[in-house]
Amino acid sequence: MASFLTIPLMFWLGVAAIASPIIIHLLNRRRFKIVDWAAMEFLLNANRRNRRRIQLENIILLILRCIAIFLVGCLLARPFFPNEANLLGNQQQFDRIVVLDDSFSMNVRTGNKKLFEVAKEKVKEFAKVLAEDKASNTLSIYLASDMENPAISQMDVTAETLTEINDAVDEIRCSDFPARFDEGLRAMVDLTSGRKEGRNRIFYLVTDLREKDWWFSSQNEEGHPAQNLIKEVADNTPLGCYLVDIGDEAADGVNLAITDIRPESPLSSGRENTFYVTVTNFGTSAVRDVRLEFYETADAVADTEFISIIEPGQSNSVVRSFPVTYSLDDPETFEDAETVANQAQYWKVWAELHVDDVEKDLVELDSKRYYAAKVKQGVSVLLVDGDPSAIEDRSETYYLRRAIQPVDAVSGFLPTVVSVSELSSTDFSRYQIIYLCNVDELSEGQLESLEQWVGEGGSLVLMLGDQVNESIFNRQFYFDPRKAKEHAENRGVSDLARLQGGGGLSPVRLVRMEGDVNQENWVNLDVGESRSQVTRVFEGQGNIAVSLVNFYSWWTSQQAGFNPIIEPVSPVINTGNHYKFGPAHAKSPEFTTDPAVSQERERAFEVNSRAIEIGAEFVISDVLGQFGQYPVRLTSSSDAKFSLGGKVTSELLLNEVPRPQDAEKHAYGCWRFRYANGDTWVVTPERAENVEDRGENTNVLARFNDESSQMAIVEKRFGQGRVVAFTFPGDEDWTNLPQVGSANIILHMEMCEYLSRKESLDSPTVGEGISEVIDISKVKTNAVISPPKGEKRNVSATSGDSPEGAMAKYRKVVLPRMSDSGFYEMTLTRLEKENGEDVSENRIFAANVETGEGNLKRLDLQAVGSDYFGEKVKLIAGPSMSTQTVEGARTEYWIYVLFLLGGILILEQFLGWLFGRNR
Amino acid sequence: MSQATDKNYFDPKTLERIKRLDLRARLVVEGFLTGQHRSPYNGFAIEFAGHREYAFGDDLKHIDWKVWSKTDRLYIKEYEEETNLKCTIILDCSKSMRYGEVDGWSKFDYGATAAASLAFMLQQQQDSVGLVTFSNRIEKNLKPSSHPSHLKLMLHELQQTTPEEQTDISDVYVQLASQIKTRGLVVLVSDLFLDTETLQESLRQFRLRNHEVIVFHVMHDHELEFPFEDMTLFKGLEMDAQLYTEPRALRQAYLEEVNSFMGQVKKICSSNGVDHVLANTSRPLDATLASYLTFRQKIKKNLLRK
Repeated sequence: MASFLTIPLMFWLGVAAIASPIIIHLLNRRRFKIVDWAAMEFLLNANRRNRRRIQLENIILLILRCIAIFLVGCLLARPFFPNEANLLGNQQQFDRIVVLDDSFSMNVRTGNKKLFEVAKEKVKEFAKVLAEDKASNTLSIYLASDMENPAISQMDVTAETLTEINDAVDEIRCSDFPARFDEGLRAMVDLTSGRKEGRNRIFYLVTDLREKDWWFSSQNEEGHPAQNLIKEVADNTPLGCYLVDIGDEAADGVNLAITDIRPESPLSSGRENTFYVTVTNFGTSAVRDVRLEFYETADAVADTEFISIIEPGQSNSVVRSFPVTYSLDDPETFEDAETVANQAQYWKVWAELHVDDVEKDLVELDSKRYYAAKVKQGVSVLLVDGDPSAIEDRSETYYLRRAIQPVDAVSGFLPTVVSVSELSSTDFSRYQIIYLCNVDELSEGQLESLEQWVGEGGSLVLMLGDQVNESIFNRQFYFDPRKAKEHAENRGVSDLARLQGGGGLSPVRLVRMEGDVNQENWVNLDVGESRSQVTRVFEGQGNIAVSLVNFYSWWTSQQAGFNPIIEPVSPVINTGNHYKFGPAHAKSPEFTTDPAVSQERERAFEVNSRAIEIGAEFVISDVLGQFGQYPVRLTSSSDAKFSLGGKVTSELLLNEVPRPQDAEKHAYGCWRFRYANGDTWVVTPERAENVEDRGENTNVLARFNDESSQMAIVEKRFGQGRVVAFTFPGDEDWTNLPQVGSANIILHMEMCEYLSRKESLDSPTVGEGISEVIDISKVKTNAVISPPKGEKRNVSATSGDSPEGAMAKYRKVVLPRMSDSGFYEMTLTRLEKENGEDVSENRIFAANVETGEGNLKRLDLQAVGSDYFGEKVKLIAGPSMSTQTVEGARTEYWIYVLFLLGGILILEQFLGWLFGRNR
Repeated sequence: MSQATDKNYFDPKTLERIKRLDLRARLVVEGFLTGQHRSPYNGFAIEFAGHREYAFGDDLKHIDWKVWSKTDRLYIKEYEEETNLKCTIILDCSKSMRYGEVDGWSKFDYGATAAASLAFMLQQQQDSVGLVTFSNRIEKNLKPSSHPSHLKLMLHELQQTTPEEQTDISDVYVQLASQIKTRGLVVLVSDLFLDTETLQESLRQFRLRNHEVIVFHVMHDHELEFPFEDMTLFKGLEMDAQLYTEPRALRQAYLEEVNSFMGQVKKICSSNGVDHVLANTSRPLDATLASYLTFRQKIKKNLLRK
């Protein structure tokens, strides 16, 4: 029972408190009014009649008040019952849960031992102490990296079981995982959150308390997840939550680590491939003469490099290049280039670092880093020919194919040519780059799968030539079909669909063809300021390639982002008139207001002009020229932005002073113009909210040097992928580019190189899984995975959530998590046998330790303050783990006391009111 | 009389500030006189009683000659009061009347003002007024007189008197009746804190002597309402007793006692044909007087009609 009853001083203080209503009553008696009263007889009579009742009522109230005070005292004392076992006179029982931090930073050497061994010793000592304890104890040991499988689960700790426990502890080995306390602690929170079951639990987290695991920057107000979680665990374990810091047993982090190894670009056979190896010094002093050994499967002898000095906290990179020759089966045995392109050979590439002074590198594990090099024959490129020809060099793709894969060189790119009709049966996912060469129209299905492919990371190149029809192209590639449809349904005006431009694949909207069919006049390319890798061949002043490459025809286009639309504000009653809106010098197409729809206010007239450029002159006129020529100047409101030539601006100067009678700003960043004849027009930039980001998405790589600087090569991000539009075709119909030296080759090689970079070159870290797609028409579904440590495992490929289910041709071999650093080798058996024997092919995966884990800097407890983990978490040093004592488990019942107190107070008030009313 | 019209009269608080009793009395009387349309003098007019046959020794001037001329007999015109009204005001000066002193306006102050007002008023209509003050004995006995200086004497007496002694009423009341020889109007101003039998007996004595009796029952508002809240020590003014109690707890019972007392008093008064006027000290005195006078006139009229 509550201890204050057993301490004399507390007891008397309590009694004094309980007596306080009586004392207050007595004190009150001394403070009263005196009245000289005349009608004393009546008063005495009344008193005589009521005295007993009043006394009784007062005594009842007094008792209630005394009880209330007693209960307040109880509340403050937080009373509890000892657990049931103890009530029955049995021993107390405790569940002790030890969570061992087995992150690889625990591998740090301290003296002759690793820190993790020290931690295990502490746990064993702890178990020994528990075995001698009077109370009965159970012990559970978890590893932070794997909370689901405890090393020991609720084992009674007695002299008999001690050996068993010690054996189990000895078997625990430190993982290659980074410290993931948030996961481990969350599991702990789940485990401890049960009220009743968690009553006897005592929680110990044995960790080296590295700064990167526990510290968070002060900007993050929510705190470090691990920090918050251990507070939560502490809340759930009232008996005790101990953070056992064994990190100070080791020297403060001196460690060197290889933090990265990766190739410069996707590896392909037959050319020099370059690797970067990065070494980081996590220590506090410079390290000299670091020896770096570089291994590859093909060459078992190590290449050695020396890094003379690495400053503390700094990283140094070493570059290694070597040719990869693809010694694969004869390409002739494969059906097509596509298969060849996707055929890959895996190499193991790894690097190790060595220092003479062992003390400079306390953790060995991160001194070695692995890379599974997937060497492909090349990047597969699909060329879709929109204008095929029987004569080889007349076909649209002839020069492109030659440019991407020159005849007698190894480019690393593997082009496949298909016609538009073949496109439906082509699996886009096998390609990294698709060229659409002068393609006039795609089917809906083709377009949809193309959009999906680009959205998922594919790279699309549009080569636009004479087969292209601008309205079909704009509808299919420029406008966002979904938005257009939605808009048409909402407003019931199909023409308005055209307002919603720019959501499609193409970065440009085509306006019309320009140029000289007689090829007597031409323009040249101007790459301007865009220092892009792709157009590097045309860079520099006086670049001869620029002047040699002539363009006789081209598409004029508008960049996504600004599409002026002109529409009448007031209904146009006078129908049949022809209106023009466009640059003064241009042959502007005409528009007719349609009597059937012109009554509709929203009837939109597309401004079929070239892109509005700064300084362009516009006219609004009817055919009879009644309006004359009106130069227009547009000034933006602050919230509307225009993207012109990739530049986002809020002011759009089209020409000099406005000549319409009145120009005023209109909603949505529109401009309204009123003209002398009473007509009012509104110039609307495409919906203002969409304009800005679309402007950022597109990037003009090259322009023509014609008078309006038309765009030649424009790039756009689309989902995860990219789209590049050439406003000229890939053949020699409109340009002499294919014939001018190597300009075409360099341009398209660089383009493919640039576009193929999407492939991730990162290696997975320990803890991540493998999910490899296999083609079960070629290999058996059973795969054997050999991890760097431990036994081989057989894994069957599954069809996963593929809609084709069991019929799926491509299946996934999944290994949920790689638990060790090193190479994982997956062996697949081909269905075709050679000479009656199984042929196997290997795929290799590398798992590396997390780079940050090598940083051994400890959490600066003085800097973060003693309350960093809250009051309930008890931070103790390793040696004192086994000397902590814990009070018995108990059931607190203050909440019931609180309820009772509330009830008493309510009763007191009620009775007070009742007595008062009756008097 | 409604509370709203009370405002037309003087507030006791105002009167309290006017220390001179005669001025106070004048204010009270004139205050309600201006409020009345009819003269209050009628209220105490002398009534014609009847005729009786002449007997030897009667004054000839009382013979009703008009009756003689019609009947040839000598009749004497008889009045109920042969001379002016003789009124004796009996004021209770016992200690219990001191209640309210602390707040400034005690029951005695109230009662004295009432007495002075009545005296002033009667004097105005040439009636004789006498004053008897008593506590446990008869303190002063001023015989009724209509002389103007008599009023001054009375007022002086009232100013000089302070309620000091404990009232041992039972003797005094009986004495009172025997003291007042002249038949006339007797106005008893008292809180009547005595046992009801004594009250009954003394009133009976008055009535037996054919006095017309009006009881101005002076009660303090506290005594009627008992509005005390905090713990209080009640000390008896007359009794040698004290009670420490929580007033709220006793209020109900106390009020029951007081009400039963009031009921008994009223019953005794009415059974003896005595007018009982409750004079609550919190109510303006002139209002109390005026409402009583109005009531009296109505009764008179009703009687005459019958």
